Amino acid sequence: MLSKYKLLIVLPLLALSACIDDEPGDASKPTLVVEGYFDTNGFPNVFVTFAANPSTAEKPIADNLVRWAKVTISDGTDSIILTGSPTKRHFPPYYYRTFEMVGTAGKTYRLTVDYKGYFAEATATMPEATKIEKVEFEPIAGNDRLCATYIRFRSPDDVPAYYVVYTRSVSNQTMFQPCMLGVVEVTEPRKEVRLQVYRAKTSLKVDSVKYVPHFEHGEIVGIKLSRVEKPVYDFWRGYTDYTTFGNSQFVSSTTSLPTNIVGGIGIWSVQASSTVERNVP
Amino acid sequence: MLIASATAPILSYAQTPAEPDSVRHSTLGEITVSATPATGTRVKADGTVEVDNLRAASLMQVFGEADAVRSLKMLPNITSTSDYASGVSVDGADYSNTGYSVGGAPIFFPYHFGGIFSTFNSRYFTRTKMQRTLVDADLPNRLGACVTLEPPTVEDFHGYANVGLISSSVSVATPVGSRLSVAGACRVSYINVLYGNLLSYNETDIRYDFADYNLSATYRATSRDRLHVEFFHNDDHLKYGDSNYALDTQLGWKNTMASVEWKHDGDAGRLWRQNAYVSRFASDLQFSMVALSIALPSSIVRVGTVGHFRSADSRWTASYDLGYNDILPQNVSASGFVDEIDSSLRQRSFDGVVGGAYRRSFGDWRLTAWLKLSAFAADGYVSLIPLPGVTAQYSNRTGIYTLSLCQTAQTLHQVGLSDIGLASNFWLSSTRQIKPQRSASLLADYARDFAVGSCQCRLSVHGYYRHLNNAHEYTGNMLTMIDANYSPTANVATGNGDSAGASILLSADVNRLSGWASYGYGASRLLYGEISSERVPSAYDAGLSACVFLKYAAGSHFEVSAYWQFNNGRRTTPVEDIYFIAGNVVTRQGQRNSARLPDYHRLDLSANYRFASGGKRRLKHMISVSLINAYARDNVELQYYHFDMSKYTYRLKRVHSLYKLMPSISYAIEI
Repeated sequence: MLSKYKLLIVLPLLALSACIDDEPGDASKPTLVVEGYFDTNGFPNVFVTFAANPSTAEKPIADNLVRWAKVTISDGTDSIILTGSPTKRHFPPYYYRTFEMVGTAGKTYRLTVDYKGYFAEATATMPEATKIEKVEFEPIAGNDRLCATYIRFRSPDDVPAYYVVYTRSVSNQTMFQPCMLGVVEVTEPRKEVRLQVYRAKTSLKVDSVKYVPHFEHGEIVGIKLSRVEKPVYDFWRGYTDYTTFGNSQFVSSTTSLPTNIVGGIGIWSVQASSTVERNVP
Repeated sequence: MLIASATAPILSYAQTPAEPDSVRHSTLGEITVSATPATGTRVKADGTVEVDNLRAASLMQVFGEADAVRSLKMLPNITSTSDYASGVSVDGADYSNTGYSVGGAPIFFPYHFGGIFSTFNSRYFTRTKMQRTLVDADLPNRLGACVTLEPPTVEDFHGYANVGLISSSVSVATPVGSRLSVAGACRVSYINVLYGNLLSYNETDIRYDFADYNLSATYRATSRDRLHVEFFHNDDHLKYGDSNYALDTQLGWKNTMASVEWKHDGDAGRLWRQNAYVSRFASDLQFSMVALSIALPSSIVRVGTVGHFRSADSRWTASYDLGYNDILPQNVSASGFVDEIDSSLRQRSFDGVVGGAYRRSFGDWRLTAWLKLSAFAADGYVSLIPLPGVTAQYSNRTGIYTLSLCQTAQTLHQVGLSDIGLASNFWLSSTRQIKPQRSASLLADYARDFAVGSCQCRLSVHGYYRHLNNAHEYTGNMLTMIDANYSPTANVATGNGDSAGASILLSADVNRLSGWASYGYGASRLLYGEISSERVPSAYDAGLSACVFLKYAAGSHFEVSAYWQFNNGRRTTPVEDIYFIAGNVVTRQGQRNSARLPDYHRLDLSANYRFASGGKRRLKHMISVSLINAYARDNVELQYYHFDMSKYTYRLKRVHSLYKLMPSISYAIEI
């Protein structure tokens, strides 16, 4: 009699041994990641990596770099193969570039990446640039070391216009990176816009220096206002949300960034840019 | 004897004399024979759970506080998805599908932060009841279960004080004259004072305080008429700073409820209960960065009335809950980001449920049938949904078999950015686009009492299937909210789905030892066309669960208890790719909720020592010591990918629950 009831208890407990602990496993085929920039009157820079496979084991990032890809840019008339080169100013520390093609407003640029059976491509058109009319600095109350930085510009006639703002510290020789909250959509034509810009934020840093969004007195800063197409804007907007609020315990982020890369993920950011450099007073 | 009656099934029957004779007779309406098991928690034959708060309070304490709602979560198919979750998922339903009622009034978010305990002071409320099948219409109109807190019944002076690790509470109840009695309780925390330094760690700084208050008065106008006034309020403030991300977050929330109820006990079991209430929930989530601040205050106010009428033979009941809702889903304001934003949407609506139920016994059969009508009106949108239901119960010597089939609807919805049910999730009213949620449910229960030697046992089996229409999920993100043309209702995806599951619970009382063991499984799938083209597991897809609870009373002074629980890990959306863009790590997510965190299990131990002192008025003392997660299981709360730029490596990092080897001690005094 008793054994029947023992069985009732023991059977379910035995069944627990069949529970599966869902460890993330290695994906069989990694995803190609493309991060490409092409500015008006500038030269294209393209970073190619493989996405890291989620794993509990510690893995070297170096495994994800792609050093021997064939990266090609075509403007419909000319087609240029980019050359790989290491860099210390960006992560990943290897990129593809060329000085044989200059970004021209109105042109459509097709990017292709070919590497060991992987093929990715993206196409984007370079709009007309919007000029930064003025850079303004305002002292931060209670802090004699930092300045708040603003740019002024006027929206074009053909709205909506989508912008991504990049900043760099010329003094610290960093590359342009999207600044914190640096995306804006302007729907009103010829509207004067005043926008606060911040230092770019990176989660890939070696030092433990805390992020300070403002620039310091005496620092030379570069500011780039880039007008982009809607798909490019959507990517940078998602990126901004992710990097600003993605670490908040109060916000559950379950969406992925959009992409304009076919055959991979990332962004082909063809952008009409206006760039200024200023010494923070 | 007590044990025997405690484990006995609830028997309800109507008894009518066969023939009237010259002797005066009266019809006996309904007799309910029930007693509470030594554990304080009783699962009835139809799956309803009743918790005797007084007994449950001594079972298992966390941070020196007992919690009746946590006692519910010790049972199968009643789950939380995380140690820090605020909510109860019953039979795979969303947290917001579980309603809470105090004195007939709804409470919209009865939780303190991080799931530590509910806002309901377990020593103030007499009894906690969770109904899976909502027969009557005088309960909050929710899709799933309803948890009802029974206000105190004051017969004599009674006082209780508890001093715990993070908070203390006082509860007092006393008659005032022959007709009036009053009761009150308050609980306040002192986390910041005692633990402020511990909560500041590296780049993060946490501050949290809470308080909850209860006050009631009962006036017995006649031997049959009673007027009861109930008041409840809680106030929570959380501040979280992260200097590494230059982001400060503040979250505050409050429930305020006041109700007045008149109850008339008529002849031969007739009952008329009439209630008017106002209940408000408000939360305010604020993000502040340098030169940017975003505030997302949200509130819901409901003014309503409920009524309940019972016929003389208890066969018929009629009930209703009618209310007016004033909702501010998200009154978004942002500054420092291009333009000042101040977008607000106010929703005003009327809704109500009116219904009647008929109960009848036929030999071994007991039948309950009901029909309710859910009505909703707002901004020209009107919804009328009939909600029929039937419960059949058959009893014989092999046990009690219960089968329920019913339809439910919910016109107020809670959505938001948090997967674990934080107070920042906001309430929305139904609209033409966001239709009322509906479900058709089939519940099956079996209960049998039996004895094995001197051991009195009860076997309970519960199964459920629920088909859900119009489940709602928020699809926006933070930047969406600070769009100039943002509307919270434009960022809600609607889907359909199914939940199914079963559980078995074996409870036993033998001499000084009592307890239960349970094993359950639940699955829940949803299809949101806007989110995924395939059916995906819901966030409340429980999977396997099991628990064992044992309590041993060593004499009249000392008792020990142990509770072990196992759950499949919380559903999570897996990361499929991690990649670098512009100096930051970003991730690509896989199918929504398609993975689980590692399995969750822990063992909690508790010991109580009671003694008495004093002269004329005896004082009862209790010292409680407990240890949460006694074998230090590292239960995972969330996981992310960490990049070590000094070594140029990356790996998965898991954030473990703080509920690990967590001691708790409290001292309580009762008079």
